[in-house]
Amino acid sequence: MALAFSNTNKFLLNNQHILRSVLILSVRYKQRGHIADHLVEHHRKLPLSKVKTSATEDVSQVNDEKNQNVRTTPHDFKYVYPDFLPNPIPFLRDRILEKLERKDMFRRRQQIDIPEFYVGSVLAVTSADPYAPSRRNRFVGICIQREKHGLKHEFTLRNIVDGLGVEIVYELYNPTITRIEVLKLERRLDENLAYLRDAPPEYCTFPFDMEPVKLPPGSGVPLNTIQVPITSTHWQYKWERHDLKGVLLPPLPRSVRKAAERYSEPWRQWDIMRQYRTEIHDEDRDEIFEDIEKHKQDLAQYRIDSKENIKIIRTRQKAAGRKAILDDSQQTKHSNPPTSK
Amino acid sequence: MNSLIKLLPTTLDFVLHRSFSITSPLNNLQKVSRVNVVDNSKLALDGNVYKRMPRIIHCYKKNNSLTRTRLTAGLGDKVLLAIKGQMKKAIIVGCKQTVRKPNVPQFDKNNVVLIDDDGNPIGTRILAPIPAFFRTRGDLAKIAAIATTFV
Repeated sequence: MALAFSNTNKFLLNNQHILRSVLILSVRYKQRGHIADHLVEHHRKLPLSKVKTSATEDVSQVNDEKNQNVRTTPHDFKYVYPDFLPNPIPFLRDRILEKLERKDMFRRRQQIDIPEFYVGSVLAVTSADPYAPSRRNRFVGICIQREKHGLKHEFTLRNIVDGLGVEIVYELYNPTITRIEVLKLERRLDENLAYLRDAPPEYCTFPFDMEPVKLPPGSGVPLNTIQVPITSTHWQYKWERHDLKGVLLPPLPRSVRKAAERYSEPWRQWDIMRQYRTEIHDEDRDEIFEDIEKHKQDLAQYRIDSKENIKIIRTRQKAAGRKAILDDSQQTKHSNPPTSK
Repeated sequence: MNSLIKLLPTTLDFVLHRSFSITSPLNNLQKVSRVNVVDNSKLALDGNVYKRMPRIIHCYKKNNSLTRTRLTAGLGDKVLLAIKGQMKKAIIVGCKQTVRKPNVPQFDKNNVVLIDDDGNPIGTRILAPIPAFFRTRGDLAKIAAIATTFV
């Protein structure tokens, strides 16, 4: 009996142990903002990253002697190329997939010029539309938001057409897009301009025949510090809770203000661990930046090659000229044996 | 085990209060959703100003079955409308569409165009932009013909 009891007890204990660990783990996953340490450190312990760290150390040692500016990425890098930054959530990262996606993105960038643009700048996108009379569809609007990582990067354009607000989501690497123009390069105070939906229509109306605004060469990206008033009675979101800088809110009742205070999280900006989790680190950014630099050189070479190809096609003689050459060659064939090269 | 019991009330509370929906999100139009008629016919102009806004009573689109109709209707679908005390068929021309798809326009209002029983539009002009993919569909050719702007 004693044996049996001890056995069952052991079994129970074991089971309890398993249950407890599983429960705690599962609960921990679901807790917001809580990630297990082994998940955070997972991609660092991979053999790929080990090789990379050793390589970068060597490079840094060499560069410190020669030139310090080679390895440093510009501060605007993550704003200029936000589509190249991978998903910062550690267990959703896959280094091989990122590398392959980057390759595909570069291949697409060889075909069309994807310019530098920001949330708040005015764009014109032309896409192929086989059913339209001119075989293409052009839409002009202000860029409201940019989202998703890598090859799936999307941006949203908003405009008011015939007094009705219209928004279109475009995939940046969609092959049906034939041209992307920047009509007005600008940056706003916020990273998401969804509040323009509740603003008066004059703040997001842009004519379709708008002429591009030229900036002086060498100037930085201008920052537009306009504050947009919100006038609609039914808001899409509670804007007072989002800590927006480019918004002029109407006078709010006391209860709404109190609720906004209660839900505000001012300690977020001091949360270093959160920052660490939601951002891509300098080592990874350097790797991506090196790839981009390499791509730029390749792109220049590709352009030269393609131009030469075009020249060869253009220098080909027309039908009348070719006939004359053929006649000449036939005459020469009869007279001389063909020479092999 | 004691520690687990101490843990449970807070954590389980958290787990139970996580709201997850079982049905698919109804982001398109459904029954009793109010719409804006974008047409130059007299019925449309009067119906928009009428004391009760025009609203959807029925959706005609079928969901892989002969008997049941779908609960929701999206861009380019046929619906039955209650407008000014009458029942009229209509086609959805613009949708707010909170779950957005790439290359499909999202409008600020839910727009609709009236049609008769044969499928011909009652009005002669549409006063709002309509999505460009209407040109690709043969059953919507009559609506694309009277449109002024495509987006």
